[in-house]
Amino acid sequence: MIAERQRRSLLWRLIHLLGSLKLALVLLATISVAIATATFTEAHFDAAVARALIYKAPWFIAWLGVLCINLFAVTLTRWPWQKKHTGFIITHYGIILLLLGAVIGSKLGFEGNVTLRTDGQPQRKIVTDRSCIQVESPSDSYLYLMPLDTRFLHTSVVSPKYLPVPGTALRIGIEAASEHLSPQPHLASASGKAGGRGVLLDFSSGMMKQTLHVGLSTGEGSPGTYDFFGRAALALASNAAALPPHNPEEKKPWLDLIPSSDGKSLEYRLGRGASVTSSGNLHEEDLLPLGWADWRLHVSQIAKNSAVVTTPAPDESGAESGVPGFRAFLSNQAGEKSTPLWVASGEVAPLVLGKEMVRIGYGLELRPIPFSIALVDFQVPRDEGTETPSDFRAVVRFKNTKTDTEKEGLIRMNHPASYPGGLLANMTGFNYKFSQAEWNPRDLKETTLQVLYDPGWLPKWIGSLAICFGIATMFYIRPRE
Amino acid sequence: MKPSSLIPLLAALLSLNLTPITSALAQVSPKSLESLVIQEGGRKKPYLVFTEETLRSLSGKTALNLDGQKQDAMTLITGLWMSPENPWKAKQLILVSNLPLRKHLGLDPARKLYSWNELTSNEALAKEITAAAETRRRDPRAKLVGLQKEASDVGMRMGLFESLLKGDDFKIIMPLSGSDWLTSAQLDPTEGKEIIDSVNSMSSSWTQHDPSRFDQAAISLLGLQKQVGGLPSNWKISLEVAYQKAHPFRWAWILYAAAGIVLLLSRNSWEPRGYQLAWVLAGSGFLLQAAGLLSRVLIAGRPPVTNMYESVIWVAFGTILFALIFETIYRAGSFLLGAVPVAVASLILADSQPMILDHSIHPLTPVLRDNFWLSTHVLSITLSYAAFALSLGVAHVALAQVIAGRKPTAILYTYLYKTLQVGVLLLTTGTILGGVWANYSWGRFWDWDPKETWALTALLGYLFLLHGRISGLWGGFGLAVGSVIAFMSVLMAWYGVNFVLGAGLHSYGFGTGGFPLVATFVGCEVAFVLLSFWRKSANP
Repeated sequence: MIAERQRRSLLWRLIHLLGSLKLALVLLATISVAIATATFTEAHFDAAVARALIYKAPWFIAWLGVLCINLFAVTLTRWPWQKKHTGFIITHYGIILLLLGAVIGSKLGFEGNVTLRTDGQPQRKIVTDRSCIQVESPSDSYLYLMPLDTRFLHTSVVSPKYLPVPGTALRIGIEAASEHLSPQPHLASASGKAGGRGVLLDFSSGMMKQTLHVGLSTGEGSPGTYDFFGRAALALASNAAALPPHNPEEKKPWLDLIPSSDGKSLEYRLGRGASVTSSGNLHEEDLLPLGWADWRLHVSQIAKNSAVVTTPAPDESGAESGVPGFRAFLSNQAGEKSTPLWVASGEVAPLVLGKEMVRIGYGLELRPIPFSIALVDFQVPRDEGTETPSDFRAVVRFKNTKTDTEKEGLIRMNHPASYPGGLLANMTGFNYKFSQAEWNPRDLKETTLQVLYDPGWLPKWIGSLAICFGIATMFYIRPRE
Repeated sequence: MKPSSLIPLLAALLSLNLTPITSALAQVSPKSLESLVIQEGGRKKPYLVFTEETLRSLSGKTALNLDGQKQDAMTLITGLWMSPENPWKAKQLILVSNLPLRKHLGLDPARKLYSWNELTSNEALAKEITAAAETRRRDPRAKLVGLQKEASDVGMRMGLFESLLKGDDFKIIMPLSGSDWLTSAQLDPTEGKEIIDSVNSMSSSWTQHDPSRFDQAAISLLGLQKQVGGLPSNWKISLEVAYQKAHPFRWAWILYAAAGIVLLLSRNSWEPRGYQLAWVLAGSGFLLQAAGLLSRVLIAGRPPVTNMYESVIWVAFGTILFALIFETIYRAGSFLLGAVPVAVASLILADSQPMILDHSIHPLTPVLRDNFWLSTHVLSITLSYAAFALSLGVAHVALAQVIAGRKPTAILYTYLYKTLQVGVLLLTTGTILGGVWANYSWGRFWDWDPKETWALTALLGYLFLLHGRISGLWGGFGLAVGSVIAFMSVLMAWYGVNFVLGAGLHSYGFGTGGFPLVATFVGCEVAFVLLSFWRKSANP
């Protein structure tokens, strides 16, 4: 009969082709090889790379789509179904349902986290794991979100990545990306009281493998002192009387700097407590060993009428610290470009081109939730006689911001709290689930919760049950024919 | 039995120590202390268990040759406690297991144990330990690798040695408040006078070689400990002492091995009687193993599948369990014959590699403290490994017949198919249950974590094998070859993710974590498969 219907109908021929066992074998083999490769990619690089190349890559998702078609078509090839097909059909539809649940979950739901403090404010926003750029359009002042991940940005000064500014003819060009931006001081010329004598100093230590840039200025609004890791004090002033006094009781070393009147050199005094250990003059590019471990001072700039400005820039000392970000400019249809600026994660930067100004920000996308959550109490019980945590217990208070109704929940390991909660919400996944994720051993007033909103939960759940039930039926329940 | 499992079997037979260890160093025996309760590592345990675990952490063994005499853990550790003034710092007690590290430090590469004095005077070691501490200080979550990790392990052993000499680890008395138990030195001299006196009397009788006074003081200490209270129930302590002494899993593999040998040797008219005897032997081994596992469950209060050691034991148990169930139904002999080498090899491995497979019972990390999920998700996953291990064994029986130039019967391949079915059902259920658990504990159903991914890879591999068989792309022989190859993905999900991927790609380069052993096993299996292909083409 099967051969007969294939001969007569093109549709049946197609169904049998799409539902063929050979295609199933190719799918099973390729998917398992792909995901196995991904685990090694993850071990070699990191999870984000494995995600970008395989798990969340369009080709992989498309391949799973083909799998669904194959699973569906193969059930049709058994038409008309008989009793013996029960387990087979339930299993294959179960897998489709499970994958469908995953699609619904990833399209309509979200995952994120929220950090709460017992002495902090209730939170109304969840941090997702998706990086994006925020653009405030000058045409309607509306904030537009566009997904952007600096880790996977292929861009350069020669061929920047362009993003449109909605509602305008302007474009944002991204010409460089860095994972290690940190605030770096500069001297900018300033007039009036803001402009003073400014210096830019580099401190470096071979032992600590660290370089520190410090900017000081006598101008109003600029820093005149600097706390050196709490171990030493730096100060700059236009004359000795204006320098902060030194406490003879305190054995902390200090460095005092006084710019000369010609603005080309600095008078320095190094000391400890009330005593001065050395003094002299410094010019630009001079080096001075400080006698604080192996720290050395390098004078990189001395300037008049300047203020200290801090902007993000890539850390050149090679430290693996800092935040991700990118360098962007604004361009118009005439091909004019604004001065490029570094935009660090979590900060907003204005790009100015002629009369146009566009503010952009970068960071993890924040999702508002229709209620607030506050941490009432957080406890970390320990294993007897040790500091090893045996559980984490967070008491949280949910507050519906519309009705002002409150509800408390206890979050323990393996026991999440959910909102709005209740049987129906829990079953369908139209529910915010809060699970313990991270804690800070040095600050027990703080905890980080994983947040899941997954409307695909019900299909996933039914699909899962169907798969297990179906396989068991197929293998162990034989209908009497 | 396949040749690859014979080598460890012989090695273990030679090293098997069934005679009690006699101590001649001190005529005083610490035996009366064995059920003294001591708080260590987040739980309360018998002194016997404490000393064996401690000596294993310090020296990698539970008995040492010292001053020309074999000393068991209780004698040695009690010696450190009772007579710290002895020249312990000059004795070779501290393990430096890693050969590249020994070479790097300029230590004698032929030796594994070094004295405190040798190690503290080694500047290269101090440098590595400082570097490791610096890495940790910068990032408390940093995973140490290579020489730094090995040096840091040695540093921890040195720390353990130091705290043993100081007596800091012998926490035997419940405090009035709090949960941190006290050593006798921490007690209030007036309130704790009796306890302090007992310990002092033990100490002096130990150094003066006075066994009767030592026993008297030890018994009085045990009594005083009971008076203070806070102890686990008597039966729990007695059970743990008995479990520690009995080595049930060692006896189990001996019985399994005997069952396998009987099955192999009984032929012709002897076959039915041989089969019965094999049943009895394997059944007794199984009961013994069940008793051992039950003891662990009762001691720890959780299913026995929470670390690599327990899961290896459990998989061996599951393999025999499924074999016995199938034998009850089909009376084939080949299930048992396939299961025995797998179970014996696993149990020998668990017994002989305590540095890789930790025997001790530790409190669990919070996320695992849920007996419902442990006993549903973890048990079904590990039982699926067991079913696949059985199919590996049955496949070996079939392929061995091919290599011997015989044609395996069709029914043998049917049996193989049935074991694969059990594995597929359990692995599917277990993986999905894992997703449901992850949804509760971590807040997501599936996120391509390497463990999840490898469980899925293994499942897809076995589905590929079964679908190919249904489509007629391969027959029984292909199914047998596939069962062997697909088991490598189980090995990856089970061992590889934790020890190879999880520990970072470089850690196996230094020979820790049993990678060479597993690689050898995989190599032998590949060779075995190739051999069977060659023999099949030679005898079509």
